[in-house]
Amino acid sequence: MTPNHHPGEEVLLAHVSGALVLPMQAAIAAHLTLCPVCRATAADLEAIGGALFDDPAAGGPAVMPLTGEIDSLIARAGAVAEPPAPEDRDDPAWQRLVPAPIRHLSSTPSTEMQWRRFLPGVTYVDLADLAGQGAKARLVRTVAGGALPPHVHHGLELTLVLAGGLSDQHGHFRRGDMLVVEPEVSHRPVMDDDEDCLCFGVTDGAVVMTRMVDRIRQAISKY
Amino acid sequence: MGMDATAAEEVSQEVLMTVWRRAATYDPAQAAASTWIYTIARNRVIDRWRRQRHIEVDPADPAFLPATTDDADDRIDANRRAERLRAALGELPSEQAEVLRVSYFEGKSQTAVADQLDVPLGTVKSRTRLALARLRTVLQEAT
Repeated sequence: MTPNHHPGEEVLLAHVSGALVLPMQAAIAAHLTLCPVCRATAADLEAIGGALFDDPAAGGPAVMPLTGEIDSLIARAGAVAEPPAPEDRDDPAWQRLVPAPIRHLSSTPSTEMQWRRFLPGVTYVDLADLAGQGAKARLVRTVAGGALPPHVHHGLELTLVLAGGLSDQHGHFRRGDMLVVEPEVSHRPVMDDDEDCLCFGVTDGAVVMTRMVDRIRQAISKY
Repeated sequence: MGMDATAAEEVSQEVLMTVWRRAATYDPAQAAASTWIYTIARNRVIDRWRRQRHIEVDPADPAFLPATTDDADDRIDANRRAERLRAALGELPSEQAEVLRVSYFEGKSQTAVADQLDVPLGTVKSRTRLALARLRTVLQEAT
């Protein structure tokens, strides 16, 4: 099923042009894995980048070889193999559920991930290897019918639904759908009743619970 | 993409090396050479400049959701699309083309583009939207 909620052209442009930090890229690349519509948009945006680089009048930076040379290179080359991709240690069901751009953020196999409890029915795991990348990335599991407390993000938040579904004031979101929450906007996601919900969330600013009781829980659980 | 001449020269060499190594995987039906090289150049610049990598989508990923064949059939030939794009770029209002150049060449967010050009963020967003809408119309026109 093709997703209904997309990151939008501005975020896709930032991804294609290399303006996003790594965890944000992972969220967009994971959405692209699940969304043929946005893959077509991203391909258009890359084609526009190619045309800009190819146009001497556009004053592109001098990093580009002449396209004319490329045809002869292509005709002659291809002898040197690419290095093999890193081995995937996750089980097949996890590989079908979680797109590679997210799986590859962490070197810990899915079976060895340490899920932490935030609230009854809400567990999360911070994906490792992100020190210094300027954004937090985590997987959050919520039981069917559960809810996250109301909270505000001081940065941009991207959330990709991987299983189950949830609703907030912006609509209903299912697998492959992306919630883009602008800085300083408060929301309270409520999960569907029929299936546990798994989401990948990235934010480049602090997440602040609206209610004091939830701030205390946040401090205790280090959520 | 925001680097000095020496670094640009080195990146050029790296891009050429990558083009050389990957040439056998280049499919002219999928993308114009300019698009393909752009993605390689961008990835090398990100590698070097940000000390991180650009995360690619892998069609062999078990989670990958393929497009229906209809989506693919609608695309016109990649090289003709590239030609049309270059023509359309030349016809963009200069202030729209400038915003695109800074976005793509320097890998900057819309906020950073607004700072650099010293124009309001809303203006950058509307110029980008108009320019991309025009260029993508060209890409989607029938063969």
